[in-house]
Amino acid sequence: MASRKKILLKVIILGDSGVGKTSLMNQFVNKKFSNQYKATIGADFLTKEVMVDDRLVTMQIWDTAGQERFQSLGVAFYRGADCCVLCYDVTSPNSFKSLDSWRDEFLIQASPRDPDHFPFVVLGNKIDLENRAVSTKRAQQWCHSKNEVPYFETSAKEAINVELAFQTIARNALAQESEVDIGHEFPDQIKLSNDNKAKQDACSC
Amino acid sequence: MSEDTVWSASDAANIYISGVVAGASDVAVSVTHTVEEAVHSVATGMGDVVHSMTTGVGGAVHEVTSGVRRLLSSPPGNSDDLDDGEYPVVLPATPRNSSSSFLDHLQSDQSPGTDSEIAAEELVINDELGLTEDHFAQPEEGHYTQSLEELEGSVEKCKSLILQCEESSTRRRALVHKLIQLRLRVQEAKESAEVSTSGILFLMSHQLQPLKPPLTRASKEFCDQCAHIIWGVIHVSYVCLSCGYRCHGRCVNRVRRRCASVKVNEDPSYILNICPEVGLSAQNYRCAECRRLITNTHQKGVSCLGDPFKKENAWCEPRRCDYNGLYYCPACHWNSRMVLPARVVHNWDFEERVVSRQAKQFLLLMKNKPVLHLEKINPYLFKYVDELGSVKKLREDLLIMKQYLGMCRSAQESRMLRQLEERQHFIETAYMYSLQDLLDVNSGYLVNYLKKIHESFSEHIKKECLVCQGKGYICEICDVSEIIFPFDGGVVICSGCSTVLHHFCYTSRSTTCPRCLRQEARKKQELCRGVSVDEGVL
Repeated sequence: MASRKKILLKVIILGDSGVGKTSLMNQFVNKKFSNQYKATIGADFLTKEVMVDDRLVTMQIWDTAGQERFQSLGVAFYRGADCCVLCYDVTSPNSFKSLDSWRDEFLIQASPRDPDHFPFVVLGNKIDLENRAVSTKRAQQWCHSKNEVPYFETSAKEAINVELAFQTIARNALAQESEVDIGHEFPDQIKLSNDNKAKQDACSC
Repeated sequence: MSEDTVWSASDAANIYISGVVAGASDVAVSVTHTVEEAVHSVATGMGDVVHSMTTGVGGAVHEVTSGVRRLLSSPPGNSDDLDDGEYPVVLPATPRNSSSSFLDHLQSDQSPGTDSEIAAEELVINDELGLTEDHFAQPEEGHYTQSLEELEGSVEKCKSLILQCEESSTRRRALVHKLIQLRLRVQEAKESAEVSTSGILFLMSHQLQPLKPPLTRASKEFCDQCAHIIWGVIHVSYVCLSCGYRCHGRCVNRVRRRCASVKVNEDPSYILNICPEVGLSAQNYRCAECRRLITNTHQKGVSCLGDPFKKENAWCEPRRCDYNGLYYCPACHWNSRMVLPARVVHNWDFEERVVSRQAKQFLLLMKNKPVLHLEKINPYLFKYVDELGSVKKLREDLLIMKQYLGMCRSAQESRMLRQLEERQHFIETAYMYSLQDLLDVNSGYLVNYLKKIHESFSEHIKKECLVCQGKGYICEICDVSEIIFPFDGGVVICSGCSTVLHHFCYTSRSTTCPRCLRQEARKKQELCRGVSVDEGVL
């Protein structure tokens, strides 16, 4: 039954400014990359339809502003997210350090039902660069400590691992979504109210 | 030295005039006054006869005083300007007057150290006295006849003076201000050279467009110079495209009121004291604009035409301008009625009062300029006037909504912010008001106008647009999944992190912002970690 429904997966990309959130999304959705940096203002989303295990799902990918001064507005869009992508720049240790606070902030603002098992995915971007500063081991350790979060090393510029990472994101999000679906059976039942109305109409004649 | 030449010139003029108007010479108090009487009668209706007479006088004066630049450049009607230094004009210490004297020094090439220094010192002092009355003082004579080269020469001199004086001194600032004004004039002169082919006349910063008879409509307009009717079917007339100044073709050489747009551009601010009247004595019993004698008691004696002076035919009744509190003659003050900003902001009084022509033209040009910072001028007004309070709230909301619409692609495509186009300043600030805004608050129009826009904006942000909706807030204290916005009612906005919380939750539970607390804790943690890492290194 769930397969017939059109499935919308809400994915949020978070991380410090300049780590390549917009580039990753653009590479995945439009297969394009630009060397020019343009700070994202506020938040915006793109959609893309992908096949996950023979099911067509629509991914709604929210790209956010990393710079604090462009975060002047609220983040109500965290609510109802199916997966959160945490990005850092492998050449910038600070961007890796702030993953913790991005994760905490997301969990508080999104307040998912089961915070411990909410699907995160960590992406270490810019592996095409030579001046790497965060080792794979260190990143894997962090992911391990956060309940086995999947970890990918990507390059939006060279399109390395981007497709694979988003496939995993979609799959994990879908798993989350189907769990939520079970919880959402209540609203379906309330549809009875329509019948009530019909009865009322019948009475009034 | 220059003063002497001026006086000898005026003496020569006096002699000539007393010759022409021989019948009146024994009555006149001084010979310069005779010139004035002649001008007066131009205004009274003997116009054309005496007009030609004065022109004759003017012409002769020109010949006699060919050595004096100032007199040459001023039209015949202005020859009473000769006694410039004799009495203080209305506002004795206005910068424009002083700056003109300063400029004279610049021009006359006779400004060795001391003279120019004195002039500059005066300028500095005047500058500190305030610039507000600037454009309501006497327009400096002869400026509009300056050629482009002369102006550019003054610009160069002004520049070198600036380089000579100390950095960040008051004098330098005054000089820079002067330089800007000169530059503007150069620009103006250049433009006038360009446009002169189209028939538009550039005079005293006016852009005078000629209107040639016969005009289709029998218009009943009056001349701003001589106050006489302009018969649309007979008279050639000019009208200023920027301020609406209107005059006869024959009066165009005697225009002496600077265009109101200059003041509006250089210093767009109102006098916010209610009718700051000083009295006729401060004006030396002369009209604030044309310097004609004005008095409530009529003069004794006989006019140059042999009639005894009466209040009626001397035509010198002083009329007070309610805007600047100065007295004008009836030719410069037509009892035009205007709503006055000072009375509105202090008394919420929208009654129209009589103002001079000069003030009227200025007030009309200023009407839509957002220059009134009401909260600073009169904060009590918001409590006293209910509509103003709600306009304030609506405007603050609109500014918050602007943040959403500015970031939203679909809102930009549909140009939602264009709805505020007619009041551009509402997009930029929540505090500045134009006089027109206040008029519309009083009529109730503005509240409805803003409510409509508020509704359409909030419809977009809260219902139509998914992205804007996503940028709402969820109250972190009660954690109900209702999206709230900073422009909603019943919310508080944290001053530290701009998080939005329910007002009720905030006041009843914690009165601290949970997000700020979190950020503080995180910072502390990082600090501790940083210290421990350092210790580890050691």
